[in-house]
Amino acid sequence: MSEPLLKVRDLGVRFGATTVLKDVSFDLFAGETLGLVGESGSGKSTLARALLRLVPVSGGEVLWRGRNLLGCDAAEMRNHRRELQIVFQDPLSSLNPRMTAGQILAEPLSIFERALSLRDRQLRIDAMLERVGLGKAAARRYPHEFSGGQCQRIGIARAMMLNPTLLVCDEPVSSLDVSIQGQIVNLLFDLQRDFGIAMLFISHNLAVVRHLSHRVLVIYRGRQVEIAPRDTLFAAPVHPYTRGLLAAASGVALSAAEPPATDVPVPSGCVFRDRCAYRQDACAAAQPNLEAVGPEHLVACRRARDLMS
Amino acid sequence: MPEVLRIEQLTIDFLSAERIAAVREVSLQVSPGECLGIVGESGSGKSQTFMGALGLLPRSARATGSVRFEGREILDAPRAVLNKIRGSRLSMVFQDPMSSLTPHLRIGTQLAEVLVCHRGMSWRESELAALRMLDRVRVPESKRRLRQYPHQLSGGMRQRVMIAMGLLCEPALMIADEPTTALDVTVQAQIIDLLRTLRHEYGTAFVLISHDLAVVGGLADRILVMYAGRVVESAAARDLLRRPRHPYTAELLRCVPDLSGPPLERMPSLPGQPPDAAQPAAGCEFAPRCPFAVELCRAQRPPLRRLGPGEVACHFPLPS
Repeated sequence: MSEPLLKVRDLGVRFGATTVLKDVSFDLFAGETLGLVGESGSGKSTLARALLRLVPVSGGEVLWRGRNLLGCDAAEMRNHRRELQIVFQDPLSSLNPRMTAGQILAEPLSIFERALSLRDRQLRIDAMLERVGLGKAAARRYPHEFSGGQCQRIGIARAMMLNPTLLVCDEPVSSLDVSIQGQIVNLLFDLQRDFGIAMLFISHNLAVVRHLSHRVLVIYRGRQVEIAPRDTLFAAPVHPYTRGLLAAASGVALSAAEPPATDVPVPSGCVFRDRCAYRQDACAAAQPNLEAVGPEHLVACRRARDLMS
Repeated sequence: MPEVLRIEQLTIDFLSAERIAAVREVSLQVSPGECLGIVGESGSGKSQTFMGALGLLPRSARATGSVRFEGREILDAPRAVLNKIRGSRLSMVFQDPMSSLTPHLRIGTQLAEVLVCHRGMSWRESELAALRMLDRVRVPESKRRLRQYPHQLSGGMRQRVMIAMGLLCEPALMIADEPTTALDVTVQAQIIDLLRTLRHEYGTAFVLISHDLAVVGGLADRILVMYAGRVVESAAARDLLRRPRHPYTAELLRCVPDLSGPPLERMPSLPGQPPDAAQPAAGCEFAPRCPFAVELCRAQRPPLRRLGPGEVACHFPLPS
């Protein structure tokens, strides 16, 4: 396989005394979609933001085309940002209410492509509005004049204006109606296929992740618990937490307690221990390391082998 | 048996710069102990119907029609009358449990207050009742929780507290507006389970409002589907989920994300946008997005009429 676009190694984030992410490592290849799954408070959004240096990172490496983004100065980082774009969860609050859709899409061009003539800029904006299914008449309208799904199309269009190489999508459909979610997921799917972008797609909804992802990464309380190709993860999940998430998505309540509030300290030993139906005394010792249990399939569970048989 | 709630021909307009028709001639009934599901997209008027019925709309709204709760007309009833009913006989659980709880009051105080206000109980007695109720909605370590503040609880716990608060006065009807939408998938299933259990324990009637047919389908006895402020279909939940008669209901069902079957690369979706309430159409409001629409649909609005065991507003209902 070719060299990954993005290599994340032992990434950690702490907010004060709270460890939000610890030892997260994964690769992302060009044109690939990696689904990132976990409950509220698991650190999904923090991971997305840490990759783009939108939150301070406490340790590890984020290698973008081999260059550690965490070591870049502001000017270099700014250059990388052209290739690294993000779509946020709440479509309305992530758009400036006092700018028209046209002005919102013009902003990335006026920062990174200053040589562009006004006419060419307008052509690019019109083409992108058409591409995301809004039509160029949308350029003159303000965010409040659009529905939630349309606002998310503007957010996606803004992220796509500079032809990024990596698109980070942080719960892009969670605040939309079920009937509209499919439209947005399909738009992202088409954009990825047409432009060959790589995508990190974050969602707590496994059914949505299943449509888009090539591989899926599951995190729990800031720790990576499983990563596997899509079909493996959905057909033969190994980690008890992944199994619980899948059951919940099919309407079965996760038997163990709910996710703890974020101010509850992480237990010693395996982070999932207090909710796990398969725990043993040994699980109290330390957080298990990620180990390969199959092709491209890593699990952080002491009992992974037992659970597979 | 008389209905707990009977809404007739409820119409709500917002009078701002333009007249916005939020709810149009909605009629529905809820029987004692029944769970009625209300399904629709954002802006379909599903929440506004009940906000209107409870007198919770802003001043710019005008509601006409009739809302009878336990036999008594409450539309435009004086505030004093509504305040007695709301929170005691009729309670509401909202989507976002964080913004529905007061951030600077302990959980125990907020729960006990309900009984102090509505039942005239002492704070001491009320706190004890609150503690018992937290146990019933399965909040672990209930004693400790009473002394905590909302921000110290997880989203699912907060929603349990809201449900406990709603049940304290043993209401005849609880209206839950998107109670699981802001929660994780893992917690959603637990809250639905909890509501199901509580229904049987208390015999409370429920109205469950959601954009997600899967959530409503798991709990409701009857389902009412709203589109552009109108009821477009209503039927027993089983019939509606198995054999939807309105094309909109069928499309909504098709969009429910599913983990069974082979992974599809394209997700099913409903094309187009929800209609603009400021610009009502002459014909069927769903026609622009309907795969079966013909000229008649665009020219003439189909009335809601009985069809088999349910009701549907469509010129060409799907075969049963």
